[in-house]
Amino acid sequence: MTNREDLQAALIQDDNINVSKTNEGFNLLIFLGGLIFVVILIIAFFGTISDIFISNMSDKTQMKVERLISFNSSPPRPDIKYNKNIEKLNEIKNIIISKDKSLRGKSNFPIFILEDSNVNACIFPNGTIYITSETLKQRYKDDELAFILAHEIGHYAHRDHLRIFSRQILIGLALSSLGCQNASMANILNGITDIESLAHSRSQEKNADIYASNMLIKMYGSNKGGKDFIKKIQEKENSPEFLKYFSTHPSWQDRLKILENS
Amino acid sequence: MADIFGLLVILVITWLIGSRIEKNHYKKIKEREIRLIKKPIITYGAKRFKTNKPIKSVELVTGEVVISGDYFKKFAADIKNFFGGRLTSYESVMDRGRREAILRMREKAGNANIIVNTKIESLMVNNIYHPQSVPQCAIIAYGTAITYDK
Amino acid sequence: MIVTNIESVPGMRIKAQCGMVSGSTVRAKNVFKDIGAGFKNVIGGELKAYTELLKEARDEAINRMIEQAKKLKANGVINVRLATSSVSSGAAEVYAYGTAVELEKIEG
Repeated sequence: MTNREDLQAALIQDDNINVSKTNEGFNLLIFLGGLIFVVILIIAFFGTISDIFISNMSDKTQMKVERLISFNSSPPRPDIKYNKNIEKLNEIKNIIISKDKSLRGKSNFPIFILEDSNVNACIFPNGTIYITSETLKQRYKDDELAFILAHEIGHYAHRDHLRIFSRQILIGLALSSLGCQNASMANILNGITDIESLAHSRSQEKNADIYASNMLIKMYGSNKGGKDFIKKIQEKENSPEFLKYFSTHPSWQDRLKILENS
Repeated sequence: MADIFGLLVILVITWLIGSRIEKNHYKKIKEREIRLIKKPIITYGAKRFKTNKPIKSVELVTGEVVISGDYFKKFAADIKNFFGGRLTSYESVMDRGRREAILRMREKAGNANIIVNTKIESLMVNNIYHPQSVPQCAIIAYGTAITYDK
Repeated sequence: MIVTNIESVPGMRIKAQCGMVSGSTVRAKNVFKDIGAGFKNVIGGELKAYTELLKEARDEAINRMIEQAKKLKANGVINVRLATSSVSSGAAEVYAYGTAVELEKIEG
């Protein structure tokens, strides 16, 4: 009987047959890498489809969709003290519209002022532009204001809002069918799409900058206004370089480089 | 972004602690199994258990345990579930649980010479369809302990 | 290796019992098969992917059990039982256990 007991003891002490001999941490890294690769492929695939779809969309459909998804609330009541500024901005805006043929027959880009202590501007899907009051207080020159307006109009001309919407719908549908199984997958997919949408937003900002730079060259012969504007902002804001990977806009250094190269 | 970093921290912590607990558990299981090697268990004997020795006592013995996997194991298995194949991180959880339940049953049997008709049942106590659930398995082992009269 | 789920092997005698052996495995199918099975659910019928999954898991569990029995120098496993539990959704866990025995032919 001792022989049999020896065999049993050996079975207990030996490597366990019922548990695979794998390094769990290493395994997880490999499969996580594979998963991220698959997800990036899916995002690239559906991102391309959405880009092709939006690029080939007719102007008529674009206007229809814009009206559907636009902010429907009434714009802020115009303040009389900004009347002069708005007049000047409208003048610049009209020059920009006249320089780009593709904008004709679309939105007339109404401009409104927002009370805010940051220098900023934004555009809504239907072409309504908002500029913060602080931007006016900084007394920027005409070509600098033209850069700000041309950047926002560039977003409209590139149909950036529609691109974001269609991407989010397509990629969201594709990934939610993979990630609905459990919370871990949902976590990972959320993280990847967050980082990817930031990268997409940065590329859109870059294209809008290039559009604005070309517009300035058409209007004034050079894009000096854009460079001056960015240099002025740079003096005030100083954020660490690595943060550029986690923000919606490229860093100011990078944007200056874009202008210098175009 | 904070989500991803938080997730990484949780994964590393649960991996380190979980693998340490598992290592210690396996060490104890092996020690106890070696100690009990002279008291065999068999899974047959329900219809007729034949022995020539005089029998002193017969008794039902049970051993039960509820064992849970850690967050890291759940995460690894969830990712593996995407590709299919063996979910290796759960194998050790179930193996540990079953061996522990059998060991508790054998230890309860005390001086019994043999345990016959051993059966092992398992039941998930968590809701596996809940996306956050970590597997929690209740395992019960039971059999008839027979002591011979010397 | 003779594997039975009765308490003896017809035509053979149990010479000695070598102890309990067990094999277990947890397996899953890839996400596309899971999605396919989800769609198949709507119209009903056999979910081929999951049938295959269960077959793979059962085979692997029994093979692991037999491997343990071989290490104990047994030539049969009797009274084998299969137990399953659902560890997570879309995964199958199969546990096979039995008693490893040394068998010999009954003469005459």
